[in-house]
Amino acid sequence: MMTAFYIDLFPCCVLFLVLHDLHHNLVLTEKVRRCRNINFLICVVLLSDMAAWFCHGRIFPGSYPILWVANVVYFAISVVVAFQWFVAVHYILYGHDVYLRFRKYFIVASLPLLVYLILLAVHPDWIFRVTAENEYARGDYFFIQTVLGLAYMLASSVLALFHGVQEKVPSWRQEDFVLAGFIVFPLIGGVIQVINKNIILLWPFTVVSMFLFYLNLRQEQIQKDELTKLNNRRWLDESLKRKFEESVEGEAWYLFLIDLNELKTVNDTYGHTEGDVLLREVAQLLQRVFVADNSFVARYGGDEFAVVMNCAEGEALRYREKLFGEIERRNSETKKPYTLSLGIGGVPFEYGKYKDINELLIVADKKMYLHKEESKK
Amino acid sequence: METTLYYFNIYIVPIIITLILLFKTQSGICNFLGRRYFSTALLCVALGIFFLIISWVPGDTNLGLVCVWVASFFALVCTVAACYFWTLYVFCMVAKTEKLRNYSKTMVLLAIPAVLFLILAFTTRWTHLVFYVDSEGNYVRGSLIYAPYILSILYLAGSSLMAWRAAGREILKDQKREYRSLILFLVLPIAGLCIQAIHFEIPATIYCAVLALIAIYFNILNGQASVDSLTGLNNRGQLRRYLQAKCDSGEEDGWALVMLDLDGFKEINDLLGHQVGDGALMEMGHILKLTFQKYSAFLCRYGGDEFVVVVDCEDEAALKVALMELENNIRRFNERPDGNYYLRYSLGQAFFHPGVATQEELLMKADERMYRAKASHKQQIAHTVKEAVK
Repeated sequence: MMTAFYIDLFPCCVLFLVLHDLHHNLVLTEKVRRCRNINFLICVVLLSDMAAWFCHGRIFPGSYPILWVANVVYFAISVVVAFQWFVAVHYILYGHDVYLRFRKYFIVASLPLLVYLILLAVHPDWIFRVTAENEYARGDYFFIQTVLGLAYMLASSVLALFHGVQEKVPSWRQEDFVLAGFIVFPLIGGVIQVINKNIILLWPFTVVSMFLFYLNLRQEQIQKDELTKLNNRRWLDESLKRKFEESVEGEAWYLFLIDLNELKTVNDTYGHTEGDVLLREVAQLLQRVFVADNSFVARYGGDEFAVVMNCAEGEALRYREKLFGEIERRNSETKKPYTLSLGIGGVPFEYGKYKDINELLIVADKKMYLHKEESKK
Repeated sequence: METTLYYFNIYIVPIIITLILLFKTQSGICNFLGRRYFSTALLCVALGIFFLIISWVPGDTNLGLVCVWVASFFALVCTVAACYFWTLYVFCMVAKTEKLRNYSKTMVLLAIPAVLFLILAFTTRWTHLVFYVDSEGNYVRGSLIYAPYILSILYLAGSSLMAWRAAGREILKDQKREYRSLILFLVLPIAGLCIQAIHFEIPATIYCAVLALIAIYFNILNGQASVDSLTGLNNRGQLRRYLQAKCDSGEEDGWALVMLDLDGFKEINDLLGHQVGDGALMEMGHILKLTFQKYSAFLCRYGGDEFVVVVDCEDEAALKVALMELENNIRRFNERPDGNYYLRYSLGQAFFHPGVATQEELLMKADERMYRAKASHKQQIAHTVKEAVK
């Protein structure tokens, strides 16, 4: 059965590459740490599977215990992976305070896993058997493992879907749906494997899913501004450039440049930490205001932000008023010693009027300064 | 049918992974140089593997016979095409342009072997030189069966050579690493080929080729994440990593850290607009690259208008020579007639002494000296924006 060995070999190598890259090139946030742990566990599953297939049907010194141990590890860890994914999805959806909010719920959710692990320790022969020819065979209650793993995976997907439907910020909603979709590959692989026992696809396809997940993580670290979690300058440039090149006649979109007044004063008087808090506050405010399906909010520079909206001028100006309203409300409610004020310059995109995207930015920039000067008076 | 299923099972994941990479390069996290050739090469690899699977269908029916022939044909063509487009991609990287039309002669020379092979592959239907399928539907090797493989290896070897030489010329360390990583696409598949030659049943060649592509893709992403998009210099995170490695390595040779800050940058920004300000930063980055070309140096945009250069040099005198050169280049820039602003800067340097300095100390020392320089500059009245423009 060396065939199965080779089939597992490639996904395993892919995971090694991913783990290596993750170790060297990603900032180790909580999300990345979870991704790393899951990848590591899948590596263990694949390696134990490979070891099991290597010993399957062969008799050499130590082949029996190796086959036995490899199977126990395989059956234990494969369900742990599903549970870890379940927890990770919670974390991604609800953020840091997830443990405080869900502690009891996690304990309940982990009970089936515990029962299964105890069962595996006490009665491994229920799940799998090793025959006299040193061959692996399924046990009578083999299905417990499949059902349990599937249940955790399905629960996480349903949760992500549910969360996504309620989400208001469109880009976040899409992220939730992608998260829910990670089950698709393992599910397809698993179903094919159940139909035809000779095709081994469940874990290789799980690795495909994890590979996609990892690429998305990397993309996130490239596209997002670390401090404010908005899109960063690079991604804004990239998107604007593409939008400009692909625009067609009659297409309406609107660009705002927004400058935060007095960031320097706040930095100098209250320290840089307070300045960071202010920046984050503005970022949240902008995301609350520009919630429409078609707005792209980015951090443009130190204290500047940019918003691109796919809509006509009139609607964009309504959003502008809404933003001013929000600022006023914030300033009247806040306990902070400084007030928030923004300089805003907006330009509608007109097809054929601008030579390149820089010209549009220059106009927006000028308008922003005019607005700033006005508000100073 | 069982063999086909086996090959399907073995190769389906490499195909999907290649397609994912293709999708990701197309949807574009980042617009790297030569992207379209890279993605074409990816497509060829995916198609090649796909046809390889198909070529194992049983050839005992008429349809099967045709399938085996067509699939074998395309598998070979895709192999060569992948290597050809790979060479174009490497060429783009090395020439630093995507407009290959300017190199029409080289392009024609590069394409000749591929075209010749295409003709050979087409005519093999009658000449049976490369391969043929006998009446029982078995694939039989012809006398020239090694031609496509040798051709592919030659393409890869040629592109690796190009990348290797470019790496030797390059000053930015990251870029150097990126060039070197391109060689993986030669080394890994050949290693796989060797393994497969000894153990025929291990599908190592394709595994290794796809793994090499993944590694290279990661490296491309790295290049994107570590480079400041405006100036093309390294960003702050990279500097931190680089300094850490350099401090830890305990190198005996001297090196220095230079911190530069543009004077009156705010004036440019406020009076001429942010776009001109961005232009000034780009010019500064360009001048730094120009000046430190000859040295082993690490260039970085540290923050808004701050730059950091880490340069290997024997002693302070050598550093002085380099900084003089920088001064000259800046003066030449300021003397240009059509500009509407001047570049002025303050700098502070700190020399590394083994055992004494951590990266924070070095940065702090350079920063402190820079601020002292800045303070003395402030006493002289010098505007960065030309009077006429105001």
